[in-house]
Amino acid sequence: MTVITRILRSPAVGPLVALLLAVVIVSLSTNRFLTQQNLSNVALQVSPVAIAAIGATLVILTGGIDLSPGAIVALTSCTLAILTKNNDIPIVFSIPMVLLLGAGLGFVNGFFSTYGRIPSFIVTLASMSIYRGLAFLITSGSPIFSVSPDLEPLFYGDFVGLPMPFYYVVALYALTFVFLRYGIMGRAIYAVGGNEAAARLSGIRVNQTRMITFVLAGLTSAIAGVLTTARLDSGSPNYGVGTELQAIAAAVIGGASLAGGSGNIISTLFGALTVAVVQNGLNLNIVPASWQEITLGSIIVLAVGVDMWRASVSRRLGRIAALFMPAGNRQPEKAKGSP
Amino acid sequence: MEHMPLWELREIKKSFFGVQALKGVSCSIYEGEVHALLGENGSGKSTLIKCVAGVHQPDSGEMLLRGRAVSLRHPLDARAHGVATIFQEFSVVPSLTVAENVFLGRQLHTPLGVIDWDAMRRETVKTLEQLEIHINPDAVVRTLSVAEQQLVEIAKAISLESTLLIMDEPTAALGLAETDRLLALVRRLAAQGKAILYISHRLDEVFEIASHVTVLKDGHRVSSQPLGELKMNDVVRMMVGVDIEQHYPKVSSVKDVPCLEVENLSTERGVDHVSFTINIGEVFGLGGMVGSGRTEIARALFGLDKPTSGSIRLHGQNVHFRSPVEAIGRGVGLIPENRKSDGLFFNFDAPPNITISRLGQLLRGPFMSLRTERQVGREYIDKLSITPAALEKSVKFLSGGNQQKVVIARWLFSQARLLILDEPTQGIDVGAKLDVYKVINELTAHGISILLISSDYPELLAMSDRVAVVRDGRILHIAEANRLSEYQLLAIASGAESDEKMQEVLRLRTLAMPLVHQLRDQLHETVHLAVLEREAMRLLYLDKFGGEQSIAMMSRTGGTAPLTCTGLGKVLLAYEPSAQVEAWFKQQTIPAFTETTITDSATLMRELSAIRENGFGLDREEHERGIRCIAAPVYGETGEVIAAISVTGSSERMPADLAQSAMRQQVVETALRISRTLGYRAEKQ
Repeated sequence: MTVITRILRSPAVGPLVALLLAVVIVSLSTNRFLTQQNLSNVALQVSPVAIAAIGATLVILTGGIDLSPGAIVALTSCTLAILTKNNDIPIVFSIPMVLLLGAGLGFVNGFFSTYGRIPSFIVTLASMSIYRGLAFLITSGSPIFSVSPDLEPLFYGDFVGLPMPFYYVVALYALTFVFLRYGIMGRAIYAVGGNEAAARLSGIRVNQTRMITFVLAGLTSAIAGVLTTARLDSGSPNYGVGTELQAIAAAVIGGASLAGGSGNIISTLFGALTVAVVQNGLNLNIVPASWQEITLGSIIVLAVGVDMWRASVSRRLGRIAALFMPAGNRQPEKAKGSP
Repeated sequence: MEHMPLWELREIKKSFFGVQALKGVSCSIYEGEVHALLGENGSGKSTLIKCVAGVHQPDSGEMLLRGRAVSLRHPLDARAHGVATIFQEFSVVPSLTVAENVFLGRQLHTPLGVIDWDAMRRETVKTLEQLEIHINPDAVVRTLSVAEQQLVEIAKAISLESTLLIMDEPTAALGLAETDRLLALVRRLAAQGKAILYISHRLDEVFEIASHVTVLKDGHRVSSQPLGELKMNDVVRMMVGVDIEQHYPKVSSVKDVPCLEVENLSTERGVDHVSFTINIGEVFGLGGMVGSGRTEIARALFGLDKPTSGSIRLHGQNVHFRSPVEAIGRGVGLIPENRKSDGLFFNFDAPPNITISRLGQLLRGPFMSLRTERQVGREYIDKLSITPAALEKSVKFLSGGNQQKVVIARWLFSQARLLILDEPTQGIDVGAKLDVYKVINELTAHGISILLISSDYPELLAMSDRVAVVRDGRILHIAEANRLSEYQLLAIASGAESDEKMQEVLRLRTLAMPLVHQLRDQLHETVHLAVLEREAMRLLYLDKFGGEQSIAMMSRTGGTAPLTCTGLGKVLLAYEPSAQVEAWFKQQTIPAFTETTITDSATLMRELSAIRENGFGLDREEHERGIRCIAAPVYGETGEVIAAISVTGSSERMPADLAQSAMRQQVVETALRISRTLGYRAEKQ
């Protein structure tokens, strides 16, 4: 393999190029983008989606899909507001409680889509509706403002000059990276996504593995919910609309295959940042919300298309490169029984 | 052959990625011939057929259709020129009916543009009838067996009005009976004038049906010649440089300690009160038709199906596996039949594929050590001589043999003590098969027990220590592998014989075997043992022992042949009541196979009485040109003729005057000795 093909084949390259491209284009379109104020704004805004995208990626890696993150953001946000404001539970207790709730909501998704054998698309399409419905139910449809003064520092506070959400994102991504690369469960996730039947016959607990990805997806969505609540100091059943699409977009732009088995978490982060930069650019250029939605959809299609195109280009480059290799290295692998 | 070939390929060259896959291959394919294309995986077979099928375009060289150069830019071009291809991976759509599949992509429609279901159905029925395939045209393909799906695939190809039919490993997924049916179909198609380019790893199959053989190796044509001149040994040597005697390098390592004891095991999937024991280091074979319940037995042992009765003891301890996880934990491994869909992770290169069943071994503290994993990978890649490319390439890009070895490595690494191998050599080339056999020997030498499931009966019998024959989920017979013949296995597995008659045949076969072997060793020619099938009035080969110099001939263990044109048949007829034989002759026309076949009943009756007088019968190239044989009767306890043996060989090597030769004496004497072993007491003449 030559240097060129190796670089081209590295899974994080495409998403990184996409991110840089987005940055260049947006900064050319407006001079308000590359300001410290704006950039830290983008960094803050992106954090809930970036965290929800971790769970989305895990589910996608096993070949499933989770459409409920946005609804979980809403339901956990409302629950947190109610527990903290109406029941006077301090946030050191109420936050763990809603995180547990998020994991539980993910568990329900996982349960029906594995043991219940209903496709995860259908299960989470339904739960997306149900969870948001519950959020409306418990709040009677109106937002809860001024939840607690303790919440604000969680989002707007900083540590050694960097905003808190930066640490959450870095810590969670680092944790997930290690989990996927060096953890047995992480390997199982790739195995299940790569070939479910083979995974089962190799002694992987397939259903359990799937369950765990859904529980983690619920958990990360709940974290996103808590951050959203802290950011706006309010709980609302209308929060998190579109989070699922942005999270899936982040994973897909990051090169995760919807068929399962391939993708990596660092690329998902690049994907999430790309989405955020584009949205920010559209905002700065005062593009109407409707066009923002259209743009996001188009980017998803583009990301998948580019991924396909990149694979075929690296194949072609490899073919050309092979012509310049010494003859001895050209032979493809060959099984030889030594008689 | 002086007439023009249907297709002529001249100096076809093709390279991919700078690697030359075809280095100038030429061959001619004639109408009405079954042209076998042989070679190891990677020898260029697939590339060549893909050139003819229009999938690839040759870099240079010519393809001539009836003498006219054509270029096939696209598979549709090839189709338009009468080329139909049946690839290894089926292209039938499981959710559609047979008729819909046959007309897939070219649905017939009425002048209004509406799909004409009736016409499609009619045409399908016609095609199926023409091929003598008995499948309901309205059946949804998913509900058909693999073999039937294959037939649908063929029907689809035939209905395209093709003149050349390319078949790539058509029997890879089939059991013996289905294979026979398919081969018969191929023969019929050739007889109808179609040219057939046939690719198979199964040499016995090729020798049975092909008339012309082209062997490729490393992109070169090693040979292209009529099959009649070839021996199996030669072909294997051309393909791999391995002698056929080494085909099954069985080494037995059985210890007298049980590893697995199964008693009265039943499952909901149809395993029916099965009992057997596998010793440490033993290869225990499960023989039977596809769908007989072999795989289901394996599933129960691996914790995939719950037993409804019975017990499983592993190393003396009762076990109840509720999942593969538990089975693997106790040292049971399964290599599934379909390694692509059930065995391999295409999203991984080889090392993670190898370590997946025992990831705990890689843990250093809470984390897996990827460096250790690479080391493990390298170690097994060396040990099993897997291609080094497996270290960095997805296993998707490895050859079938390498893929299989990766899966075997997985279970070596996971320290399985009992390994279930389901069709481990299906669809891999001869060299890789040999590697798998060597691995089996090495496994058993290390005290690993193996449950081997294979539809390749010669392989099953050669590589197993003991074999159980399975039918309808039950084990009907367990025997030492070397005391069971392919025929017996087939007969029991297929349920073709009633139990009583089976016992009789088994006894005959068992008792006759040593003497027949002896005769073969003396004469170095093929020896047959056959009985008369009265219901069908034909002869049934109980066994065929190929000699060192044996040549291609139509007979096959478990196969049948006409009575009137074979030495064996005439001998068997000679001792049937004359009146019945004469009446039978009158009922039908006696088929002619060569110009020497006797077709006139009076001459035949005279010949039969001569046989009774002489005590032996001859075949003077009456069935196959260039093949002669001498046969003698075998008597049972009661003095009736119950079987016959024969020695068959090419006309050039058989003595000029068979009737006066020493060979005649040896054959007649052996037949008599077999008769005495069977309890025949009558004084000689």
